[in-house]
Amino acid sequence: MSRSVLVIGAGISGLISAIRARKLGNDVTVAFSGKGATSLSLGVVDVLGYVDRRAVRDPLKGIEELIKKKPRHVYSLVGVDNIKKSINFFKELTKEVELEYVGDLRKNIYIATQFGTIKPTCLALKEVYDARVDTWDGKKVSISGSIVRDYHPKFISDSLSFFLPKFGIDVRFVDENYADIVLRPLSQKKEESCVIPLLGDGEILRKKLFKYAQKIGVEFIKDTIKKGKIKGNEVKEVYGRKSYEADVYILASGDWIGGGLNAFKEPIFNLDMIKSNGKLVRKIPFPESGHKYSKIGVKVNESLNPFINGNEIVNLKVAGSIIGNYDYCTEKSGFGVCISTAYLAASL
Amino acid sequence: MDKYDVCIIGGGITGCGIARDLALRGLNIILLEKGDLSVGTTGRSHGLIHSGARYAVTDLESAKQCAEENEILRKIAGSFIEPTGGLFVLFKGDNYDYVDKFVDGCKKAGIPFEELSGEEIIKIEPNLSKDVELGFKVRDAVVDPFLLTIANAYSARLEGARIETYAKVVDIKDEDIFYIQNGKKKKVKAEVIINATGVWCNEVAKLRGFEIELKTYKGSILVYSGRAVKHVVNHLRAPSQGDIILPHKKTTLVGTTFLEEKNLEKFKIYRHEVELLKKEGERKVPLIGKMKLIRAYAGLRPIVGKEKERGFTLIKKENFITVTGGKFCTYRLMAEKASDLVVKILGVKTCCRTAEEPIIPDDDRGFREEIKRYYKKYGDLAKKIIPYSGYRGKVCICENVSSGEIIFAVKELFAKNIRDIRRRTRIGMGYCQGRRCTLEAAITLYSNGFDAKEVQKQIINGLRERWRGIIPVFEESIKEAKLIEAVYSCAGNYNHIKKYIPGLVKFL
Repeated sequence: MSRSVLVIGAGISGLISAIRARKLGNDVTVAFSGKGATSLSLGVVDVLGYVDRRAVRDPLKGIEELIKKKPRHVYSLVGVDNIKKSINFFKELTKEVELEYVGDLRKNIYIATQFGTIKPTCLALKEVYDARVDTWDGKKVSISGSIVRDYHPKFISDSLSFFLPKFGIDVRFVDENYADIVLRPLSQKKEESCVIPLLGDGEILRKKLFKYAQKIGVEFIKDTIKKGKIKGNEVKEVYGRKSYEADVYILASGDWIGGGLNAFKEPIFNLDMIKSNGKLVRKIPFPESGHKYSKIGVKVNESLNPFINGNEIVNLKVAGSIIGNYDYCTEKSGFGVCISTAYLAASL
Repeated sequence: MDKYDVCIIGGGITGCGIARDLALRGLNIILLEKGDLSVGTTGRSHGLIHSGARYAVTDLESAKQCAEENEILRKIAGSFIEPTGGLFVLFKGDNYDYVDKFVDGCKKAGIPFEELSGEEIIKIEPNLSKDVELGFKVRDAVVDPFLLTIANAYSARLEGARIETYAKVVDIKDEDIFYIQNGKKKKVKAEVIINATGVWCNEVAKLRGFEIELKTYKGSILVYSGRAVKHVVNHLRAPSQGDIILPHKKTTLVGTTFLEEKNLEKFKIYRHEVELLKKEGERKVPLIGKMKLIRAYAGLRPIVGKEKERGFTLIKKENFITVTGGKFCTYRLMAEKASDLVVKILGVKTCCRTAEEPIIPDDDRGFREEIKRYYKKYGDLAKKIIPYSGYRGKVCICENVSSGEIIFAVKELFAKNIRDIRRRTRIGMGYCQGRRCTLEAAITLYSNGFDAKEVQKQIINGLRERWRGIIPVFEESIKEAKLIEAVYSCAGNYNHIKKYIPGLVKFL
């Protein structure tokens, strides 16, 4: 049965849910404000990198362990099955837009970053995936490319030289001509991504998904949704400059970065929040076990409906970083949560 | 053998002012500072060059000194000063009796002032609350405290002084001064030793075997993005907390609080201080209620003697002179008096030139087009940037800082790490609080001789320092905080760096 769907937000969560809902035959409109956090991200898909400060080798196993320990974690609500389906959906979709992401839910890889550090991730563009640090052991590697403001190849290789041995990887950094593996930026213009993903590469993915969604008939309107009208346990309409009505609403407006959260509230509907008590923020900016404030977000049930004063709102779904009870910075679960919740929210 | 006429301990405005004064008098000077220049109380000052009017009623002596030094600083350091002017304003409901006392005091202290009606004041300062009844225009001005301190140190070095930063004094025996720098213990000899260490003056005096009765009072300041006022705005009343609002580069400062604080290293800004300052700021300039509060910071005032006494003190014990108290804007006078005492002890007949000579000498014939844009930021020091002005790559978008400025800071202005660079060039002091520019600044350092491991430490420490300023105003800055956390955790994975490089940074 075809229904009208209004998605609020055009970051990765909004776009995935819009495309999924459209492919199921619904009439989909997306109201969006800006580009959100997606446009600043590396564009790789983190599913689960760490649980309780320990590195995760097998994300699926890690999620199963997480679900047992934290039954209210967003991955527990979504469930392993939906995570698998949504990641397959994402892989197929990126193939269609000619920006194919590869990777295996059973294996985390480590990639080099422009900061000269290494980070775990699960899916990435083929070129990025093939250049992963896990393949470097015993090899001669060259990090090449010209120096720009936030990319310095020799700084990266020098930093990695003292990080990698502690990680058990024996690598020598050499000149391009003598290397087994060359990490050459595909292009340093922002239109093509780099083999070492740069901040902002997420914008390339976002633009491709945006265009694709338009191509398959999703309507996009630039309008910042300010308020929603609720009657009983349903959303009646939402409005920004104009007012919008739909059968189903999907809220994918992001956390504080995208503007979906304002201090400790959700400003459009004033949805029930997961709160945090005690010391919300710690003295150092990136502590290993995270900050308490990161868990603040909208409370949802297993179908991703939110609540107002304990009442479930039946025609509203929530997707992405606006959801509470998880910490993407510490867990390295960013796009994993976005994609799986967006897929589920749209699978009406 | 490292032997000097004078060893100055402490590189704040006082220490650097004394270094310059004595160097100009031809003495052989070494200055030892345990951190970077001006990181103590000096760097926490709001940079207000008082007209003196604030003390006209309560402390006539201080008022006179401020008024005189104000004119002198405009002459010798004019390029570093923003001559905003100041307003003392009376609002509806304030105590009208104070006005006569104010006028009386200003006249006695020789402080120039001009009385204005409520309407006249609103005309020249439109964002003031509309219930302003009357006010007085005075010669308050604003300076960047970091820059003025560095200019003094730069000038001292031009005259042959040796300036050592990250050099902590650990022991003093007669003429021997022992300090630790880069993990090594070093020694210098000096005939006279000056203790210009601000709130640490008692710690250092103890090394010499005596104690100073010192009380320290914390003053907190809020920083808003954007300039809400054109003048320094003072509340016309007996000096209280939250009296002052001033424009500082692209921000507005609201200050200060006054609370006794015994912990010299780890002091917090309490929420009630933030609330008090917010309220005081919004009362005087309602626009402030709509502006973005980006951070808060606090400094400690060292006060020797009666509480709230603002005069300065010289304590001499044989060859060891402690200079303490006073105000940022009377540093030159404090330095002059301390230097006079030094030359008396050494039996040298020279006199002070600091009231006449410009801090950065005028050795170029005018300045070239390419450094014009640096002039507003660096004053006369801009002339020295020319060799670096070719490096135009922009490192900090918020504050418009080029990589040439960063290299200049490292090569000529005693900067040794990202925080030092920040104090000189203002990277990371704008809206993004370091998120966008820290990596780029680090890369500039790497390209100029720092090794990668050191640069990584700097990235981490640079961000930790910015984070400290966000915490007291967290509720208002969650978005910026999350952005910093997201970039460096998600993209940089710095939160798990301990796993593969233990010991790189303690307690991360």
